[in-house]
Amino acid sequence: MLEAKGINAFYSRKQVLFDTSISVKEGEKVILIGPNGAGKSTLLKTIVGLLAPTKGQIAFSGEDISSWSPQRRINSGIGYLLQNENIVPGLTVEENLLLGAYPIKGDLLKKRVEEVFEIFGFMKGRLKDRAGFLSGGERQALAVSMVLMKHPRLLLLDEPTAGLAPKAAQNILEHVKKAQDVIGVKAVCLVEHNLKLALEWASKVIVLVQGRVVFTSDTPELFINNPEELEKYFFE
Amino acid sequence: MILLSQLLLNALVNAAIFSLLAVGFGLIYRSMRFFYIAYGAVYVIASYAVVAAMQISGFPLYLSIGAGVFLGVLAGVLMDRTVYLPLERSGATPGVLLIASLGLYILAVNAVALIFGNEVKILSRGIEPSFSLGPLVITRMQVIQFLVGWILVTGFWLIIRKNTLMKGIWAMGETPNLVTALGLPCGLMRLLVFALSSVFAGVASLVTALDVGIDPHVGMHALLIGAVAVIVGGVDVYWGWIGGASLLALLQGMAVWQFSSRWNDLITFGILIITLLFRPQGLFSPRKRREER
Repeated sequence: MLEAKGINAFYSRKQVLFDTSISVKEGEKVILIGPNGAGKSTLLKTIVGLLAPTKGQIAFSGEDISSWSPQRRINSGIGYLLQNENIVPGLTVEENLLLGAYPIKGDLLKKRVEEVFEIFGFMKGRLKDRAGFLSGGERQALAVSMVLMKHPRLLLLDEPTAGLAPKAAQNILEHVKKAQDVIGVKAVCLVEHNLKLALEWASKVIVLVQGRVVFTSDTPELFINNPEELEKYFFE
Repeated sequence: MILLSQLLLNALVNAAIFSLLAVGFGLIYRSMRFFYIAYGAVYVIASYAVVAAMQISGFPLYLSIGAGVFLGVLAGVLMDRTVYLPLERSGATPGVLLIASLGLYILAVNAVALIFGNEVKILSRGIEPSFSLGPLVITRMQVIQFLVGWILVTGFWLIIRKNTLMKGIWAMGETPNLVTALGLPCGLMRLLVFALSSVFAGVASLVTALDVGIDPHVGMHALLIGAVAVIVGGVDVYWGWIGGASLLALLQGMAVWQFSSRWNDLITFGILIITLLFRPQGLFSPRKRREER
């Protein structure tokens, strides 16, 4: 479904990704882990087009999207949740949802909003509230909902549980799972620091260290009770 | 008392023009987050386009007004495409954009002065018809200024409320990466911001120039009125811009009543400094969570 091959990316003169390759197949729930500064968020940014790689190729659903604008990538079925500033605090919850849905209008828009209520029930009573006044968990739920409004086939989530209490974090991941059923998301790739939580949820784990993929496994459940087996890669 | 009422009526008309200036400036300051000094150049170019159309090409007034607004929009959009956008793509800071904007303003004003001269150009000749409201008097041009100003700023507010793309433009200043990450048409939104800002500058310029004429150096005054109104009212709230503009117009009217119109700039900058000292988020800014500030 998604194939990123041999990606090199820089911030100014500092190289962050070194010939990095990952693939996400339909039905997979991938977690991307690694120490701070490993390039996890940068890789997602590169896939979605917010950062231009100096080398490499990105294919989505069999099409080379390397030269596409972020807008075209998003509208072709990639949903991307930013790590920070992923809602507009000055707008209401409803206005944020409409932004996520743009350019969808009319009955289809109403249907999409109803689907969001099905996943995050609390939002129904908060539509007219200013998004800036939501709690941390509610904000993340709104941010995920905004990404879901366009019915992405692939979800790229950059630390959706960052800064949340363990219960709220688990709640978000459960709702992402629910979103896969309700709106038919085909695959998810998640950057996550809470290893135990993510390993219980994932079907594939990729370890990224200093901009390079150092380990991949299709059996993340093997590491649930001993996540230190994965963390050892962080320090090698 | 009659004098005070007359000055309040005049302030209401000025508030309409100041609001146009504030909305035009605020659109760019809010969504692009840089201090758009060349806004003053767009203001000047729009009216001088009318001068050129009427006095050189012999166009009728209504066609000349259309040409003025169109050329103002063209100037604003071209400035973005040729200067700001390339600078932003090369990673320029807001400070660099401000200096570039100042450069564009000086360039445009000097070019206009070179072509048309430094003296005031009068666009409408003869005595302006006036109407009596009891003891108060209002000219036809003031009625036009009042109606055009308030209809445009209210109409634009209704569009912002209903149009999702406009909400995207509003969001650009707060969360620029999010707007891109949601797949919104950022290029089109940027174009719209500069075009709409120029429309407001152009219209404000024309309704003023048709009343009192235009000279190449009034752009800076218009820019300052727009900028101070936005900062005083609150950058993040549309009606704050209008509130700031109205407050400025009212206080300037009061200054004329008590002192002289020569002190208007003192009022403008006095209220700016007082606001920045005691309520830097603006007088009409909404309550925010601490992490949002």
